Amino acid sequence: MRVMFLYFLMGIALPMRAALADFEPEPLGQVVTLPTPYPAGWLVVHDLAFNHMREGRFYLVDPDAGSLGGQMRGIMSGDFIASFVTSARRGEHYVIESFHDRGGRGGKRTDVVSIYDPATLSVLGEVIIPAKRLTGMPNRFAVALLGDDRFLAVYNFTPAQSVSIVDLQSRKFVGEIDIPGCAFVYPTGARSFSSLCSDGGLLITHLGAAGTAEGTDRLEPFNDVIDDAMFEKPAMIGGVAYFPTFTGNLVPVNLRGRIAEVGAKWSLTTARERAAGWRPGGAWPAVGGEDGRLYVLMHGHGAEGTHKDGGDQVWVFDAASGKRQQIIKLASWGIALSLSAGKPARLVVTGAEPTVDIYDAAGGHHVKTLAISASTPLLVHAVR
Amino acid sequence: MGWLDKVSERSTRGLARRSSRRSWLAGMGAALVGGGVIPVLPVARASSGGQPQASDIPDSGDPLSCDYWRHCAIDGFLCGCCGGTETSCPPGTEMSPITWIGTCRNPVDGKSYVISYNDCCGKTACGHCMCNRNEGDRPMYRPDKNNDINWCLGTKSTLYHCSTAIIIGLAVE
Amino acid sequence: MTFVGPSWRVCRAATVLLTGVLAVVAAGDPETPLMDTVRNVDKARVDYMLNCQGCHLPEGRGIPGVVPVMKDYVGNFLRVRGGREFLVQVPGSANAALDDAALADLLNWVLVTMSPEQLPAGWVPYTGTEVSKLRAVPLREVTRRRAALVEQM
Repeated sequence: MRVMFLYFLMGIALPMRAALADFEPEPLGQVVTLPTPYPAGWLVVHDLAFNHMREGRFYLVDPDAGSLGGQMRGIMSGDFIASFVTSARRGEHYVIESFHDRGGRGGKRTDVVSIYDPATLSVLGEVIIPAKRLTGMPNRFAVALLGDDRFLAVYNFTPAQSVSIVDLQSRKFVGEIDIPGCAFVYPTGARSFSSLCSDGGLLITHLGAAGTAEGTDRLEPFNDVIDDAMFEKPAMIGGVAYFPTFTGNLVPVNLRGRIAEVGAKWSLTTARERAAGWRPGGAWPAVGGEDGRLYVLMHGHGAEGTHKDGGDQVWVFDAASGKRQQIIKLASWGIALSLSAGKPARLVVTGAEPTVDIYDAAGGHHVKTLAISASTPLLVHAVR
Repeated sequence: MGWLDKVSERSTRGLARRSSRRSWLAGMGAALVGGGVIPVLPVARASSGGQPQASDIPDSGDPLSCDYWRHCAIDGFLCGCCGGTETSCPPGTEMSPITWIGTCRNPVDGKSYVISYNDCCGKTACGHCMCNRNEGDRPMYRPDKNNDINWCLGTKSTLYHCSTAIIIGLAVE
Repeated sequence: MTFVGPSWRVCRAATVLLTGVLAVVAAGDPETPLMDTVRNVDKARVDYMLNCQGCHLPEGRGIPGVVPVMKDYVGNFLRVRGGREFLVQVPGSANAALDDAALADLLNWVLVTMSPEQLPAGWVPYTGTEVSKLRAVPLREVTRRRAALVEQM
């Protein structure tokens, strides 16, 4: 533009005319559409924005790209420590969030399931649910897809405990199911969910075809909630939830059938490692791959109260045999683990620096630190 | 709520915190208690059926620090850094009546006190003095012992602003 | 409401304890009715703080519609069929990290300090043995059961 202006001043009219005639302006109003399904390995990084939690975000990230521009593919908002879940089957992302109608000074709260188109990251629709969902530190099992992704279950805490069921096909709220004394929604069987109870047992709630409760089952207490509590944050491998415990054991719970089955508890540590205080910890201490590898974030000098400290090592086990295969020494202290669905698989370690570090899951070497600048990233989700 | 100390800071400080507390308890704290230097207010105890008055509890430490003894399981922004104190909410906020309650050991008298971690609610997050300590914290399926929950419940607004740590009693061993 | 026999004495002791005046007498005198009902008053009070108060609030005040109110109310459960079992089997009681004797003590303390006027005359305090049997059978429909009991009151 400035160059053309100079030509004009200099009285050089001809080249300018030619330039104007030939000039093809950049089109206005363009909006990027994403390729779907996404290339394998893409991630959704949840930035809680803890210091201003009404403005959380979910960053869609291509971890294989080199620069910030390549890595950051789009953003969804997530108000007030939202939850995220994606359905490849339905071709939709879901953000479960809370809005206060007077913003930073509160007002009426509305809880919403925001339904996103993965290609455009625009909201296709929303379902308003009772303003009761648990708000607190994120948990992958605060929400769950059930019944071939027909239903979305949302855990409520007011402090009364219940679950809201949404029919994703009709985009309607179905109803609320009480789960007194129990928490979270771990998908179980075809159309059931399990919840961990405060007595150390498990409550299994079965949904009927319309999404209403059709009976429950209970497992007797198996979780030593006082002296060796199971984290409420399991790794999932092939329908089995692997729950680490505060002192360094592991409890597998098979959720494939209609009724959950508790497997034999085993130790993540040797007696010597236990004595040195090696324990699992963090905001998400364990993840599992479909290849059967179980990754556990570990710290030394553990004691009462260190269970959220995270760790500087990731211990890799064969989940089926309990045999340790590898120790990954992290480049920087980690607080939460995630795993990509790409090939090769990437182990994603969120640190509170804050950083999101990408490791080669098989070899354990540090590949890169993502260029995105999240203020308080925590859980990372694999997406397609 | 929350977890976000700088992690490197947390890991080193965590270690320092644990080791220093151990040595302090084993050393000075224990010596004081063992030697009976600190009188624990028999009058107050008698008048409230075995419970001392909060104002008479021997104290030490910085209430604006995560390491302050009564913050042993606090998770969130310290209200003292937001215009309130460790026992009162900042102006214009509302204290949650519903909360979780735990115990912390006072290093001066060696006794465990019952601490109520009421959140202050109704304004956007304070954003100052983030602390996360978890002694006695248990997973969210034990809500009566969990600090990851936004405890702004039973308040006009569920917006979380900051956390207090109020001594409500003397634990019975 | 009339207070006769033991429940009046329990009520009086509870009031004394709550206000803090002369509580040392109650705690120190093994003959007081409160101590007949609650074996360890200090422990029961702290157990209430650590296991119940977070949601039910000090003195069992609760928040209508959010958290059940126990103050001047919870004793009514002992007046209706199934209410005695409900108070033990409700998850907050049954799942509390307390042994049977301590839970029995805590329930008795809640009843006599928070709702003495609603207690039926001649009510029998919970024992550890009773609590042990009841808490082993979890409630499946807490909200519905509670509503049915309240309807009977």
